[in-house]
Amino acid sequence: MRFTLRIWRQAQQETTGRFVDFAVEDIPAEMSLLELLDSINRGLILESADPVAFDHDCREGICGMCSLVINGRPHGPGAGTTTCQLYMRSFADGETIVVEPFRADAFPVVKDLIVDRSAFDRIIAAGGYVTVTTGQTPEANDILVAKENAEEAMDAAACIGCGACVAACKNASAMLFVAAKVSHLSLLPQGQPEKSRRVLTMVREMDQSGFGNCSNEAECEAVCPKEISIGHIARMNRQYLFAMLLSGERS
Amino acid sequence: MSEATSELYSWRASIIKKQLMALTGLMMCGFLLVHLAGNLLLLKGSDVFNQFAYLMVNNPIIIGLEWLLLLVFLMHTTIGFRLILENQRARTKAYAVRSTVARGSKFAFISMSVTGPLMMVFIIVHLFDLKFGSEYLVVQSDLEVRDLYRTVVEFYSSEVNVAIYIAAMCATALHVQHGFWSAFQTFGLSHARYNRLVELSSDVFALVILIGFGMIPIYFLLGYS
Ligand code: FES
Repeated sequence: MRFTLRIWRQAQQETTGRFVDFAVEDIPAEMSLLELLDSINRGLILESADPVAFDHDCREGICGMCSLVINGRPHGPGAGTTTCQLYMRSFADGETIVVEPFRADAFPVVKDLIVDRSAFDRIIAAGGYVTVTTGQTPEANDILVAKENAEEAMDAAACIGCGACVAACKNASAMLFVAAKVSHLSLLPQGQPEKSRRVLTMVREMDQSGFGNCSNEAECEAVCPKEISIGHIARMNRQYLFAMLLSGERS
Repeated sequence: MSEATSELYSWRASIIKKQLMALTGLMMCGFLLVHLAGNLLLLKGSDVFNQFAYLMVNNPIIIGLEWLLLLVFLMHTTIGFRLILENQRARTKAYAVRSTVARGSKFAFISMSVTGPLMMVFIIVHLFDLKFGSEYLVVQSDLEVRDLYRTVVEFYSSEVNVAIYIAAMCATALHVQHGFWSAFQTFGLSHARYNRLVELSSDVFALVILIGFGMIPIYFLLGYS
C-alpha cells in the first residue's frame, strides 16, 4: 500500500508548528501506524534529520501512552482501540492521513506529536486514590461488593488515562477521565470514606488545569478506547452536588 | 493536599456552573410552555386573549414570577457567556481535520453557543416588538384593556417579521432539544432504564415548541383571524 502522511512537526512548545508530508510506498497492510512512524523515523535518522517525536510504550492498548489525532479522530478510525492498535489496512490505498497531536491548552505540545498530559497526574494526586493503612493483606472476602457495583467500577477502572476524551471534546473537557476515576473508587466500599472530598478536590484540580466545561456532546465516549460511558459523568455530577451541599467537606 | 476545598471555590466550579445552567434552563422551559399556552388563546379571538393578557399583567403573583424570570434569564445568559469564553480558552489551537460523531447532540453543527446568543437577541427584540410595542386600548365588557391582540396581529402581518420569528423558533427548538436532556445528565439523573425516555421527551419538547409557536403567526399570515 502507499500513503501520504501529513504529520504535525513542531520543534518545541514555544515555536509554531506546521504540517510536513511524507510519501511512503510498499507498506504492508498488517503494519501498524506506529511501526510506519518508526520506519519513517529510521529514514530520517539515516539522513541525520530530526525524527518525528511521538508517545508510545506498551503498544498493546493498555498503558495509555500513545495518543495522536488521526484524520480528525483521537486514536484514529475504529471503535474501542488505541493508536497503537491501528493497522494500515484501516486506510484506503493512496490515502492522505493527517496526524496531529491532541489539542488542548491543558495539554501543551512538547515536541511534534508529544503533548504534556501531566495535568492528569495532578488530578489523580488531588484525590484519585484510597488511603489505606499498611499491615497484613486483608482477607479478600471480608468486604462484600455487589456484583453490579463491581462490574460498573471495573468498567470505569478500564480508563487508561490516555486523554482521548479531552482531545475529542469540542470544549477540551476532561470530565470523562475524572468521572471514570471518581466513579471507579466511589462504587467500591474502600472508596467510601473519602468519597466527598475526592470529587471536590479532583474537580477543583481539573478546573484549575484549564480544561473546558462539558456540554454533553458525548464525543468523549465515542473515541474512548475503553468505551467508558458518559453515565459516569452523570454520577460525578450528582456526587459533586451532594458533596458540596451535604458533606460538610470544607477548608 | 485536599484541605483547601473552600466553599467559595465550589460555587464557581465547572459542574456547579453547568448545574445552574441546567436549573435556569429548565425553569425557562417551563416558562416556554406557559407562554405557548397563552399564545394559543390568540386563536380564540381578541376578547379572550385580551382578557387573559389583562389578568396576567395585573396579577401580583405573575409580576413576581416575571421578575424571577428576568433573574433566571440574566443568570443563564451570563453564565452561558462565561462558559463559551472558558471553552474557547481551553483550546486555542484548532485541529486541521475534525471528525465528530454527535451522539449527544443530534444537531451538533449548530451548537448551544450559537443558538443561545441568537435566542438572547431575539428575546430582547421580541419584548420591544410586543410587550413594549405599540399600545392600543379597547373597551371589553365595561373594562378598558390593552388591545394586545391587535399589536400581535399587526406585527405578524409582515412576512419579514414572521420569517425572523420562525427562524428564532428553529434556534429555540435546537437549543431545547439538546438542553432538555442535558439538564438531566448534568444533575446526574441518568439511568439506563430512563435515558431513552428523557432523550425522547427532549425531541418531543423541541417539536412542540417549533410547531406550537411556529403555527400561530402562519395562521394569521394566511388570513385566519
Ligand atoms: S502504547 Fe500503550 S496503549 Fe498504546
